[in-house]
Amino acid sequence: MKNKKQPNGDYIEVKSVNENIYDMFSVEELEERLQMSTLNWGCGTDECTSVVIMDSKNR
Amino acid sequence: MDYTVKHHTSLYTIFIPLDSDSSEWMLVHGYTGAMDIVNNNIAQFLRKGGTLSQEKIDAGSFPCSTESLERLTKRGYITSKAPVEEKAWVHSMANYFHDKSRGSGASFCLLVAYDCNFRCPYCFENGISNNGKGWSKKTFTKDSADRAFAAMLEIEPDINRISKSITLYGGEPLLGRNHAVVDYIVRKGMDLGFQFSAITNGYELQHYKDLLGPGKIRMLQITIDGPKAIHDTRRTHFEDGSTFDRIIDNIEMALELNTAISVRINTEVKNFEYIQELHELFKERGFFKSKYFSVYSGLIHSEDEISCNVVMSPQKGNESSAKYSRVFKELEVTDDGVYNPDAQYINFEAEQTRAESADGLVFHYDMNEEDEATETMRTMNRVEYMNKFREAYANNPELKVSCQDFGLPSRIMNVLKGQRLVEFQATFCGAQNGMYILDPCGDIYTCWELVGQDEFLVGSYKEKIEFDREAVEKWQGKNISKVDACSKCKYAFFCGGGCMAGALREGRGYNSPHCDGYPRVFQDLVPRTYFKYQQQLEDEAAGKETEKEEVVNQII
Repeated sequence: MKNKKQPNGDYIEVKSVNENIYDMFSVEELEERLQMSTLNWGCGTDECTSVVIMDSKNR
Repeated sequence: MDYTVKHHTSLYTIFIPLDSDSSEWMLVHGYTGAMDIVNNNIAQFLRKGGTLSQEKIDAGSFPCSTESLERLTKRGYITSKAPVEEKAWVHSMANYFHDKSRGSGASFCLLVAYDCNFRCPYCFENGISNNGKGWSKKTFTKDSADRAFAAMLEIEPDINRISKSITLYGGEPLLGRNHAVVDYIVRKGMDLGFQFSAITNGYELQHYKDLLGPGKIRMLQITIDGPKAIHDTRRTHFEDGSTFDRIIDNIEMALELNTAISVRINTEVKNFEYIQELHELFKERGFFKSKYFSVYSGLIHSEDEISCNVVMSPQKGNESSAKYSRVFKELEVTDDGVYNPDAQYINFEAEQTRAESADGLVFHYDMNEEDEATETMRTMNRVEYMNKFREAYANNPELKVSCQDFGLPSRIMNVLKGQRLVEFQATFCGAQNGMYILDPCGDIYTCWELVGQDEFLVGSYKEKIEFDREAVEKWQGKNISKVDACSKCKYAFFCGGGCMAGALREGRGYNSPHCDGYPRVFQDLVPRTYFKYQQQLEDEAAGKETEKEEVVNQII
């Protein structure tokens, strides 16, 4: 039995919300993929510093 | 796919029911970052965690089409990897991510002075003023500032790999009497291409007009804990008492100089109800008209945080271990041999045994932080905090006070809108990735919540840089793969293992997690973000104007 998805009568089994995933590739491939993505590596950037400030606790 | 090889539900599958009758579920994968909606039949099959083989597929025991089965496998929810292989993969990814962030350079905070003119009851630095070393008299001088700048380049010789924003920290860095040395630091830094931000109480900001604005001290975090009557009961000046009016005037002045102001409201139960009133006051003063003005709430933690650390790394003989024996009991296999697949933690030893024989499992428990009450404050746990904010947003959709939601809504929304890889993190903060705090005594710390405490020193820069490599490694060597509990956690790549200072304050050592209610927040916020995105798509299709981006950062 399949569940009803929308009032229009469509049924789904699997609906992917995102397509781009960390697939089971090698570390070299991981490197390549990550270079193609715009990830914030969390440190050493102005943006990061402001995030750290935002997280400073009980000041 | 070759299902002649035994497959099973990945242990890192996070299950989130999307509606009250659980007819649809969201699956999120803890190391592929996949997010999918599935029907209840598929969810239940995966939750049961049985093995999957070609024979079973041929016999029709998998409740969906071959296409869906292959998709679920491709997305990582169904895997042929043994439990220990999954864990090994997570370790290798974690180390890769950590190397990447660690290798991105250094960032610096200058702890201008340990002294502070406020006496806030909840300040985490209160303890160090009594440590007998006269910390409050320690302030940067021009000589020590020169030494600090030289030390930065000794720590990271490539100036291009140093964050261009230096944070001024304290104590209170912007005391009026510190102006000369702060002026020296800022101007010297500007000559080297740096800008500054500062964490300040804002009370003596009027002395710093000449140093505020883009290119100089471009950003300030200033704490205001409520309207005047509330703020003045907790953020008191050691001589003057009331501080509210002057801080507000100083914020106005700084905004006129185009200085970014991030107001922080240290929040607990008793001042929560006044946030709205404070918001109105900011509105009346016209602060929200400035693009440089923002407000956020920070949860005041209690001292006794009971998190999953208790479960995953119980201390023998510790009262809390006995107190939470119920938790340990729940971690055991139930009579029917089924573990709780919605749980946070993975018992790899048991899973490996089961995988070699039949079924799979997962389990978890995450205790609330215990509340702490005083006459003026009562702390609350993260979930209560988030629920209060949700109610506040519902009551006032115009409320422009964001809350600490781990950045999850914006992170998930970025994935949905941009179809990018979800941002995974193997660490929690800059303390693990090359941030250094240089203090006026010539000491170096990695975490600004633990400054002034000898046990957390990682080095000194008095005449030359001397690092205690072992101490540095305790911080910069830690990522989720080094923590037993995090290695077993489905959510680890989202939370990064939590605040190390928080875990250390619990007395659990460096290699402990600090969950802070993360799994429950995740279970709540991720589907809300998804629904919000769906609503936006529907609104766009109907030609309605979508909400502004800034609202994404609020609890949905």
